[in-house]
Formats: sequence, C-alpha cells, structure tokens
Amino acid sequence: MIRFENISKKYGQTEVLNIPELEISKNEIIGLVGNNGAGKTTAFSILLDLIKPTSGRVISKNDDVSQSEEWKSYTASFLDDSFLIGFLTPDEYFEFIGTLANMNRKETLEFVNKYEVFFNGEIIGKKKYLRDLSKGNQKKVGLVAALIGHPEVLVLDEPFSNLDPTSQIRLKKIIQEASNDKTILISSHDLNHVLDICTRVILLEKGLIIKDIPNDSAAVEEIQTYFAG
Amino acid sequence: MFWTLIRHRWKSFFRSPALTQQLFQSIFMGLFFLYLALNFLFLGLFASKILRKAYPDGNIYEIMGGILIYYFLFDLIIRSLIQKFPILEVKNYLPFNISKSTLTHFLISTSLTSFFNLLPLLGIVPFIASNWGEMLSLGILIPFSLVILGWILANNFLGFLLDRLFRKESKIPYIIISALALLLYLDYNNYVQLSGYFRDAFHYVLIHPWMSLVPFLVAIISYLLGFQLIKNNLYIEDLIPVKVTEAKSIQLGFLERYGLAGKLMLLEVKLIMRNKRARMMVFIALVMLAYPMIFLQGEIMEMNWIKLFIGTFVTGMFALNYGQLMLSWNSTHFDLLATRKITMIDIFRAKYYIMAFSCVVLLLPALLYGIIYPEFLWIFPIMFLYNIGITIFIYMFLAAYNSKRIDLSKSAVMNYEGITIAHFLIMVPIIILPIFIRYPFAKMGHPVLGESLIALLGLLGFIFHKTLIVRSTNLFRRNRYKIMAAFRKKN
Repeated sequence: MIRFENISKKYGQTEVLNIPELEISKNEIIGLVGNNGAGKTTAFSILLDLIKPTSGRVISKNDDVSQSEEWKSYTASFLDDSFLIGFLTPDEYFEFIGTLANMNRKETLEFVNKYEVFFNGEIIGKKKYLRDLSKGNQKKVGLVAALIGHPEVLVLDEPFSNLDPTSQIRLKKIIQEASNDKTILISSHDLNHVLDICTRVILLEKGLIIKDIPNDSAAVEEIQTYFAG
Repeated sequence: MFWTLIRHRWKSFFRSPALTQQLFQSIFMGLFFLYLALNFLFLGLFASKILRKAYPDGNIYEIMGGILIYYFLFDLIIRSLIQKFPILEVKNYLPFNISKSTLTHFLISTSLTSFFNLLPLLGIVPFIASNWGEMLSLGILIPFSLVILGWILANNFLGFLLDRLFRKESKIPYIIISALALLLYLDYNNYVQLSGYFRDAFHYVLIHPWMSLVPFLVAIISYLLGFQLIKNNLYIEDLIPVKVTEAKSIQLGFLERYGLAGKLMLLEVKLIMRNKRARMMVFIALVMLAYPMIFLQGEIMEMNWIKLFIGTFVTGMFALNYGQLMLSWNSTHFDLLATRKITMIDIFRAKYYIMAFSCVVLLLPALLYGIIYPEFLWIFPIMFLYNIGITIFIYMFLAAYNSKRIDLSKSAVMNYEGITIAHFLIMVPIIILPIFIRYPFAKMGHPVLGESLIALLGLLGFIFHKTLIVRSTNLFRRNRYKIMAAFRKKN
C-alpha cells in the first residue's frame, strides 16, 4: 500500500530522518512512537508531500506521492492546525471537506452527527469560527473531518494530545470502529494509547527506525523497557 | 526592576524575528520611515520660507501654530488607531513577583519610544533652529518649544487612553478622521475659518507663556488616568480581550452549482468577508471608484495616458491588492489544501475567477463616468481586459515566489505582514506597461491603435486563461516545498 524507499531528510548537516525501507500493507494500524525529535512528524509530512525528502521517495499505491496527486483522493490526514480553516464554522468546515469527497451537505452532516458524543455538544450547530474554539475542540473537528468520506489511508499526528481523558478513550473507540478497510498511521509519544489500538508499532529514535514489531505482549514489554530509559 | 524590564524590551526589539528573518521587509519599512522622516526634516527647514511667501504680512509662528493644531488632531486619532502599546510583553511578566505599579509604569512609559513622537520633532526642531534668533527676540522661543513638546507628550498618553476607548466602538476614529479631513478641506477653500480660530488660540498662548504648560498638564492627567485604568485591569483577559464573533452565514447558492471550483470560490469569498485585512481590500477598491473625480475638472485630463492609469486602478484595484498576496491569504490552512483532493490548478482557477469577477463588479459602476467623459466608455473596458488578461496573470506567476505567511486574524491597519518590497515594485510595470504600449502609437497620431493593442493583449490573456492558469500552477508546483515551509513558519 505505502512504501518508503531510501527516504532521508537533512537540514544542513543534521539528518532528522533516515528510513531505507518501510512497507506498510493494507489494513494495518501503525503506531509511530518515539520521544520528541524522533522524526515522527517529518515522516508523516514526507508521506503527505508537504516537505521534500533529501533523497528517496514514498510510493502510495504505485504512485510517487511527489509526482502524482492521485493519493489525495483516498488519503485523509490531520497533523496540526494548519489543516483547519480558521474563518469557517465547524459545520462549514465539515461541509467543505465533504464536498471534496463528493458528499452533499446532508450526507456530511449525517456523518458527523454520529460523533456528537465525542464533540460533547460543543461543536455541531454552534455559530463560532474554528479560530475561536479551544485547542481541544479544534482537534476534535480536525480528527472527525479526517474521517469524512471513508478514506483508505488515514494519517493522524499526535491525535491524543490536547484531549481530555474521556475524549481520549472515545477517540480510541472511534479509530477502532473506523479501521475497517483502512490503513491507519498514528504517531504519539503516549505509548499506552498506541498499544491499545495499533497492530504494529514502529519506534523511531533520532530519525532511525530502531524497532518495528507486531503489537503483542512481547512487544509491549520491549517498548516499555525502551521508554523507561 | 523597572530598568530590567526596559532592558528586556531592548532585547526583544533586537532579537525579534521580524528584524532578522524578514530583513527585506524591515529594510523596506525602514526606508519608508526614513522617507517620512526626511520629508518632515525638509518641511521643517523650509516651512518658514514657504509661510513667509504665502503670508507676507502674517505672523508665521501663529500660522504655523494653526497648522500644527490640525496636525496634532490627526496625529491623536491616528495614534489611537495604529500606535502599538507593548501590552503583550507585559503578559509574560504577570505571574512573577513584580508589582503591578512597576509593570504599569513600564507599559505606559515605553510608549514614549514611538515613532510618532519622533516624527513631529524632526519637523519642529529644524523649524525652531532656523528661526531661533527671531523667535528669541519676539520672546516666543520658550513658550513655542514648550507647547509643542507638551503636546507631543499629551498626544502620546491621550492616544493611549483613546485606544482603549475606541476598542469598543471601532468605527468612531474613522468617523472623526473623515470629519477632520472634511473640515481641513473646507478650511483650505475658505468655506470655514477654523484655522483662524486656531491661530488666535495659538497667539493667546504665545502672549501668555504660562499657558504653554497646559499641554503638560493634559499629559500628566492622561498618564495618571491611563495608569489607574491599566493597573486596575492588569489581567490577561482585559489586556488581550478574547473576542468571539458570532459566525454569519454566507449563502451564495449559484456558486454551489460550479462544483469544486465553485466551492473553492465560496471559500475565498468567506475568507474575504470574514477577515478584516481582506475586507479592507474590498473597501479600498470601492473607495478607488471615486478616484477619477480628482481628475475630472483639472487640465490633467488633457493628458490621455493618465486615463489608462486611472482605468487600471479603478477596474483592477481589488485584483491589484488581493493578488499581491495570492496564496499567502491561505497560508494558515495551506497544508489542508495541499493534502486534500484538490489540485493546485483548482485553487489557482478559483483565485483567477474571483479576481476577474471583482474586475467586472468594479467596471460596471465605473462606466457611469462615461456620462461626463464619454472616452471612459472606451478606456475602462480596455483596462478591464488588460487587468483580467495580463495583470492577474502577472500575479499568478509571481505566486510561485511569494512565500510569506500572513495571520488573517490580525488587524488590517498598517499591517504589512507578508508584504515585501517586491510587492510594491511589481505594481510599477503593471501600471506602466499599457502606457508604454500606447506611447509609440500616440506619437504617430494613432493612439486608438495603441489602445486597441492593449485590449487585444488583454483579450488574448483571457482567451488563453485556462492554459495560463495551468502554466502558473506548474511553476508554483515546482517551488511548492519552499513556499509551504515558509507558510508554516509562525512569527
């Protein structure tokens, strides 16, 4: 489904990412973990053609993501607030994202209404611009918007940060429910959340993949030992 | 502690990313202020000569005073609008063990370093210096100097108070400025005699020197009032009021019929209507519709090339202003546009249609000038074609090099974020090109041919707009990583 080939990213002399090879198959839920500066966001940004790798390429369904724009039709992502349009209301934003997935207003609103509990009644139908929402609510809007249109590939950077504990638990459920027929990539430095939902855990350290293991009980211990330092 | 804060302020100025990273912008702003400063300097040096010539039998110091009253009135209002008080910097110090009084004194007194205080001095000091002998013999040197100095201080602190007053009623300052401008115009054309009263008032001050202390009194009272106001409200939520605007829905049903392009255009319309700075562009374009009026009576209308210039501005003002920042308008949500099922061509297409549409909207009322000057019925459509076929595309191709992030939520007045020196320079060829094309034909006695050629070029640009959009998009795509990285960089 997705293949990193000889990817490296350097800023000046510092190499922040070096992935000689990484193959992600359909229906996998990848948890990308690592401490600050491990290269998680850089890896996602290269995958989404937001930054240019110093060398190598990322292939998504046979296409180089930097050459073809085809991947955009089946990939949805939420990395940070530059994925939000501050001067729209949440409803308008959902509707806009819905149009891109060929959904009309009614279909889109029906879809997002399923997440009313997650939104805690603070988002849908409110006459507030996104820029005026709290960080947590902004995050919820971005996350649910990424689910609109059932994308085949879902990329979420630190989805659990800025959310309250209840919302974190609800989000895990939402991701699991949505995972049918989807390839999901999640980055986090919160190990527990990742271990709860992922099928495969990739551990990055200073730009290198130092562990790439299926999520089973052996893996849990291995990675916990790593983070314990 | 007070001086530690001052030292921090010094550091924050010299270490600000705006000064180092946006070097070009800083240089441009620097040049702009230097230009203003030089103007004031020369004005101050030659003011007495000019006044003596204009009023051979008047007292030039009193006349100067009358003019200065107008200046200071404008100065006060403009200060309240754009003079920035370093309120945000205080925010970082609130949690520490520093008394509120110290913070407040710091906050208000650092406002003295403003350029607004320097500017009048640049004019007044040479004025006084070049006339000091005469002023001394008239016994007005000290009261004159004092009253000016006091007034600068008074305006500084009063502006601070007014800024907080106007914050709730943001339209008032614009009304006052318009009223003042109207008064000045009427006064200049001798419909009213306000400057006469101002002169008398100034005369009174000069013969009663103790009166020159009044501005100082105003300054002190304003300082104390400001001090009380700030000190009692030194909370983050008061310093930086959280404004939550209620969203107004914008329905443009007809755009929905155009699929993705229509959706993106609707997004663009919302961007324009819901963000102050973009809304300002609409306002400026509408004001520019009145621009030809300045020329209507003058001999300047004899110069035919100037009509091309007017035409470019009147029909293209929105495109000229909005197009300058092109994709920067979307910089805060560009990553979304870049990763979703939208191609760059869709985005460029929406931008093109919005700007071309603005030209249509401006052309229609502009044609009313044809009632007075029938030539405009010919010139305006030509310049309209030029704008939609050439001007907009110059900007679309430049978008590939324009990598400045702008934060839409910031205010519009004197906001040059994202504007570089290149933005101003590029306007020059856009304006000159049609005049240049027409020139040889006009010399040969066939200006109409030249004008037709401009129209033809514009028309060609419009006919091939789809190809040109693709070309400009390709150019952008080649530079996209650099531009996206710059869009992500917050100041």
